[in-house]
Amino acid sequence: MKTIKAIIIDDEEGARRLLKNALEEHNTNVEVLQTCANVPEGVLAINQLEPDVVFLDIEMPMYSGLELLGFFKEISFEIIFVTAYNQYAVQAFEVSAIDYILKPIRLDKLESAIEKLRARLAIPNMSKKLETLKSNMSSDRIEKIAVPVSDGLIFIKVSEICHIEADGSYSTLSLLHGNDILVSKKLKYFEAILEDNTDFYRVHRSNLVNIQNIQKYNRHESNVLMENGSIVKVARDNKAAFEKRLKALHT
Amino acid sequence: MNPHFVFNALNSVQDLILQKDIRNSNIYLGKFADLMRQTLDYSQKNTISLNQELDTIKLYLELEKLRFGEEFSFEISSTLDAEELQNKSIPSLLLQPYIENAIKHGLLHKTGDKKLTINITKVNNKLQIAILDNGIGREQSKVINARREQNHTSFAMKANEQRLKLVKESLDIDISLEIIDLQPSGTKIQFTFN
Repeated sequence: MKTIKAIIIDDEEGARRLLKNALEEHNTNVEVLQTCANVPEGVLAINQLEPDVVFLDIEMPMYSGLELLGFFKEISFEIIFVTAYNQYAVQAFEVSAIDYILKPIRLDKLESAIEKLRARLAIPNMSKKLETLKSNMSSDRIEKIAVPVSDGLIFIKVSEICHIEADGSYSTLSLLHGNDILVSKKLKYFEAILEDNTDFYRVHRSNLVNIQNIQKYNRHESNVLMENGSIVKVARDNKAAFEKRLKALHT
Repeated sequence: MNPHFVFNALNSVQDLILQKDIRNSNIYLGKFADLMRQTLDYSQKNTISLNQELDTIKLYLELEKLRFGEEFSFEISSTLDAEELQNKSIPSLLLQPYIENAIKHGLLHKTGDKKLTINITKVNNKLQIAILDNGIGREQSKVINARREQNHTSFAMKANEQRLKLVKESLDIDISLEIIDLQPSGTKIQFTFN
């Protein structure tokens, strides 16, 4: 069995030692290369040691574990969250974690996470991405999504989104409250994340709207007025299907 | 009490177990059980004695210390005598959320020594309870919260404010609260029982 190279990032010394002990005592064939007490230290260690997996705590000083990915252009490692809460679980999948382990650690859960990790490490890169999407879709309905911005990640309640507009390889999130957010992700990305959320409908090649935040649908003009005042065009070809979808709301 | 605390405390005990430190595993498991028992018990009551409140706080802080290690220290001091502490009744579990807040938003982000102090005094015959931390302070904490979460609303603090209001209306205990920024860093929360 190939040895898996790991890094642990957790601000608590006891928690780092605990996980290291658990991994070693259980013959998981995971070698802990280094343990780090915060995200910046972790970033350095990852760049230097190129681990297969990072065991990542979420609630930490200064930078939360969820902000780790903001430090990398390309992610060449897998993530397993080790956390005291599960409220971040869905978000954890959102940043493509393989699994999450709740504290205190159950050894069977740790073993199954390592098994999953082994399976994942055995497949090449492209198919991994697809799997991430799949796990997003099969997870419970997402309430918040993590959006990468220049200095980290921001978390946006799905119900706050009025519509998402494509702009080349960028997308603009138009929200119920607050300013628009420009994200360097294609509209397709959001469409995939929100695929199992029936509130979102692609009314146009360049627009995904949240049906819950529509104020008025204007049939003649073929557009919708959103709760935040913005107007979104509905493609003529989509009108019939869209109206059918709207009707389903009343029944 | 934040669920995060509960699971982290259990995690700290698990660390002792895996280190095969049987003595401390037992001690801290016992402390954890006592804290849970008291919290469940007191949450059914409107008021408890100041003494009981401080005992609970002590357990809570001991478990936090197990988690944070050597860098974390706490001190509880009082100018009241044992009888006064026994006789003074205060709204149950009043202090814990504020202490948790001081740790989560102030001390957690600080590097180096993290100190929490609780001072109990009488000024003009009015009971005063102060919670001091040498953490990063409110301004810096705001910056971190803003970056982490776009619409950060301080749920705990709002709930705490409402509690003080309710306490005044229903129990007729008038407590005023003052928050003071400390130099060079840190925050002081001061309750005055009017």
